[in-house]
Amino acid sequence: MSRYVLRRLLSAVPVVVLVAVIVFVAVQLAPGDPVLVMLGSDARPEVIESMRRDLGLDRPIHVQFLAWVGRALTGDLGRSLFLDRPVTTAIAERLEPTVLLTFGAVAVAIAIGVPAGILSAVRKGGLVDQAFMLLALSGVSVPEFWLALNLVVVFGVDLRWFPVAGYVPIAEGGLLAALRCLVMPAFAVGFVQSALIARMTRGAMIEVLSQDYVRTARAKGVSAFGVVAKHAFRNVLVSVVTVVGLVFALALGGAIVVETVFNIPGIGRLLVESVLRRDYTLIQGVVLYIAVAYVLFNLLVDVLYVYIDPRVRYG
Amino acid sequence: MRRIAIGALLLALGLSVVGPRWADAQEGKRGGTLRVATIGEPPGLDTMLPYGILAQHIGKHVFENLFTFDANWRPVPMLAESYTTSADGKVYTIRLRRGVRFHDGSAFDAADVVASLERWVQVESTAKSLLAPNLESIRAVDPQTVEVKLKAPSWVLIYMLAADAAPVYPSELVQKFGNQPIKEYVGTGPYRFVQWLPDRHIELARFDGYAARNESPSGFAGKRVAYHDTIRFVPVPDVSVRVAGVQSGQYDVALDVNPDMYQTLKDDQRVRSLLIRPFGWPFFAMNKAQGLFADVRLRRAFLAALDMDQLMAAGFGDPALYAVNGSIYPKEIADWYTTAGTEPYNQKATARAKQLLAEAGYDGKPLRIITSRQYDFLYKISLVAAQQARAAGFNVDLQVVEWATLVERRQKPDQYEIFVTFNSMSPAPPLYQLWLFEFWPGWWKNEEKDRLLARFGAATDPAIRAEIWRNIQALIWSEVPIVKVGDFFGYALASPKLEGVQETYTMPFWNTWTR
Amino acid sequence: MTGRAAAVMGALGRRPSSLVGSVAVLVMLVVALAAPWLPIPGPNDLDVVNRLKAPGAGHWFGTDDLGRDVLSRVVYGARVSLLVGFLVSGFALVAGGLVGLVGGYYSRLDNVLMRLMDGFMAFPNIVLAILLMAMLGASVTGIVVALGITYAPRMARVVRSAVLVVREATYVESARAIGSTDRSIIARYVTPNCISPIVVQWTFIFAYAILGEASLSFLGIGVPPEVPTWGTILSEGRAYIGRALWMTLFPGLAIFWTVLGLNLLGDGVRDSLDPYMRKAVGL
Repeated sequence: MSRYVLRRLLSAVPVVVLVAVIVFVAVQLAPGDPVLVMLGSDARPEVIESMRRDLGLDRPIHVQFLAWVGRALTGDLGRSLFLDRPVTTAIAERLEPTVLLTFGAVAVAIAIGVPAGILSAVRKGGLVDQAFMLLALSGVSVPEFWLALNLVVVFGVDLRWFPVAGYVPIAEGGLLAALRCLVMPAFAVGFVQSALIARMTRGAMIEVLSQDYVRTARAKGVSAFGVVAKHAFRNVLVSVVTVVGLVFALALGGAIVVETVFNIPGIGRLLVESVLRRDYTLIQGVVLYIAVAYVLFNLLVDVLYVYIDPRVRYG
Repeated sequence: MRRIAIGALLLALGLSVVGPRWADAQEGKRGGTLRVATIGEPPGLDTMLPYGILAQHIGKHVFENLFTFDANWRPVPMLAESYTTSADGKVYTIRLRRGVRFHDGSAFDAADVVASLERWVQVESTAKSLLAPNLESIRAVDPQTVEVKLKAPSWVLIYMLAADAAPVYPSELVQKFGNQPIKEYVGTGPYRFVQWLPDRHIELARFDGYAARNESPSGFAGKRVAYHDTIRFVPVPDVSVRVAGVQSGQYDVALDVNPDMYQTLKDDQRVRSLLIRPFGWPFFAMNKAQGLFADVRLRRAFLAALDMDQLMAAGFGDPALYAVNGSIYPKEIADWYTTAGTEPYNQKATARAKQLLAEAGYDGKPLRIITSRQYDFLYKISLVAAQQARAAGFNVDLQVVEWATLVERRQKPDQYEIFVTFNSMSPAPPLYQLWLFEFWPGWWKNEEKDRLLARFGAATDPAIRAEIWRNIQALIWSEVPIVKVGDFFGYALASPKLEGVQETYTMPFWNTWTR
Repeated sequence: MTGRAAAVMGALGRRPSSLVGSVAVLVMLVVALAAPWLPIPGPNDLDVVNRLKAPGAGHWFGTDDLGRDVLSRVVYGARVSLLVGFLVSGFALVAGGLVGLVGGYYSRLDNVLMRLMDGFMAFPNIVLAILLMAMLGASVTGIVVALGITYAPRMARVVRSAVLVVREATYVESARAIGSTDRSIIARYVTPNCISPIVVQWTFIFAYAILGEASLSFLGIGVPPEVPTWGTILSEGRAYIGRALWMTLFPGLAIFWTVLGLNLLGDGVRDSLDPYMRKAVGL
């Protein structure tokens, strides 16, 4: 097992390197100059030049890249051109809302998806099944931002249950205030994913329900609940872990659209802003972080399979 | 002089009022936090650098200038006590106010002014291009007196010192940062900078050591009182969320509201609509250096094809939010408003444009217009203008790019014929319009213009200045270096509980309080 | 091959939901293709005087903030949105399918290819999209490449898993025993047996692509302005939710209709898959 993990970690290294190279080259190739964005178009050429020099942007691209890699290996991702702080600090500052949002979205997805999946499996082919599956499909059939904007209008403005936007860090308002800000965003992200969970839960449940021993138990008139619950649990767990892994991998990289609508200062906003401003060092840092988080979470999911699904073995 | 603020009560009834309604500083209530939802964040708050209107808006509460603008958009002393001009008009002696302190506790004196102004003429584009060549020296006569010597008389100096881009910083900060962006925000204003949490908010707090002027408030001038304990500028990129935030009471002010929302929001009891006039004017900047539009006949053909009523309606929706006006300055700035030479404006003459094109021998080369979606109105105006130009026979290639790309590309004469942009309201005299100059993208080279501008700068008599400006404006409409589309007004929302708001460009939040 | 296709078609017939789904998609497709012959104004015909008109005679879906006919924009938007869906899913199919096939069949290349796919999946598509837009200008190509690169790995994974299953099947082993070449085995046995999972994944990617384009448009990184897509129509209309709901309602419904149709279709085909295969490819 540990050898498997080690091997996977090693094989992740070229993935991360690949991502780093691509982003470095792409960012430098794209038009747009951070210094011009920073100083505005009316800035004098001398000021622009001196700033470029100060930021080291006048060096050849491969020199810049090697310098960046050298520092990155020591854990130093450089300074953000705009935010005037180390890239690692900038990312760390944004982790709290993004991590909370991710957990919230996962909670919502499970809370909706699992019961819906079980109910439709039990009533397979019936009206309840059709209705739930249609609802689940609706979830994946609307654009996230459309759902989000409508949530704002209904629950933020009309009912005033939740703040329309923004985020209060735990350190300032406590956990409850922070979570209150994240209810609607978590719903917007989680609802979409709940459809996937519902679908997979349903499939897993149907498989269990069609097993001989369950059918026998049912035929005998014995309540099959205990049997089903026991056997279904593992199956459902597998599907939940799969989707949860997916949600984590996606949302930890920032639920960009939802963070934008609800104005949550998370990783997603950081990424978009950094690209639009051509904040080179910050783009590289955030993309690197996302790639690493993605690889690690995929690995975690694969490892978890071993524990919950005895049929899975890795050499 | 027309009003620049409109009574809130009457506005709520849908009526307009004549005459300013300035806050009465006596009735205010202290305390609370003012939460202002903004469209985004400025790159920094060093307002000497071209960081845009938002930086100036926020910076205005932190930094102060030697002069500022009153309700008639004329410069009056702020940190200055008074000033005198020598008989030849070349030496300005500026007396400074006593007892003014910076937020860090240090005293404000002539050394700070000299350091700030010396940096200003080096880093600020307008000062550098227009003032620096004419500057003999800036020196401190004594701690309370600064002397500015010019090579040739220029009455524009005081206007420039009153503009947002000429704040006074502590000399220590100027020495520390030099010409690089200043990142410690210490000024003399009624609010001091507290913290900036990127993508969350910029927080200001009342400066208890603030030395206010005694005169009653007028425009940005006079007594400034910080009623709110703190002000938070919160970036909220989505306009519907900004609006929803004021409706639900989460924010007290929403800036940059979409003008098309005015119809539905003007009767909404939960919010108060603020119309900020004048606010700015969109224009098409022509590339006169090379390509199609180096030929003035084609520029004129383009101008002939435009229907400004449609362009402004497309950009700003409600007629309450714009004015179709060919004067470079809006009516509200009476000193510079003139209709001289504006006949070519708003011709709506597709047939004439076709004829002009034929006369110029237009061969169907693409007319490249670069625009951006950064500002929704610019994008919409570009769409409609492209349609109107096509109707006249132009082969339009409308290129929508990111703002960052537009800013870069407009420096390159081989890349475009037109770029679409806008100027914010500026009370400064016409000398302050950068597009008049050859160094600005679009590159207007014209001897007649240079001659007029030189005379203009030297003229001491306001009547002669106005006369020369009329000639310059006529030249603009005949040479078509740019095409002004019209004037638009800013639209913002405030909580009905917020009192004392001035409906003016970069509306200040001092002298406002929450009931 | 034809037998497999027939099985897919048969599954469509048996499952009413997939029938409904395919009809929904087909209807939209026909409308999109027929757009130039429909009695509607052009999607970019500006009419500033008649801006923000509510749905009614003349403009069944109302007009937008520039006086353009919303019905026409939604119909023409269907052309581009469906095209984006087709191209992205096609790109994913070709690129991802090829990688999956090779990776699944030649285990020596498998590890390298799959790590490469991981790399692409780990790369945030928004960064790619913004940079491509900056390089190419706002264009359908940029959107398709950005989304295609993001979704291709999903297809690669599904195909790879399906190939792994098929590779070990007895009929492939016997083919190999009688000396068939790799190419002929891939062509005759492996590819046909992967069709169903590919169809399922293809419909889902198609649906994701339509939503993905909408999200990019929402963030202001989209196709050129004069090309209407459901995403651009929606994001342009979002400031008007209070005043002109029709600007967002109809493109929203069009997306919902199509994506739901695709999902129903994909679900139907998926349910008709061999359960063992379904589990193996993780659908």
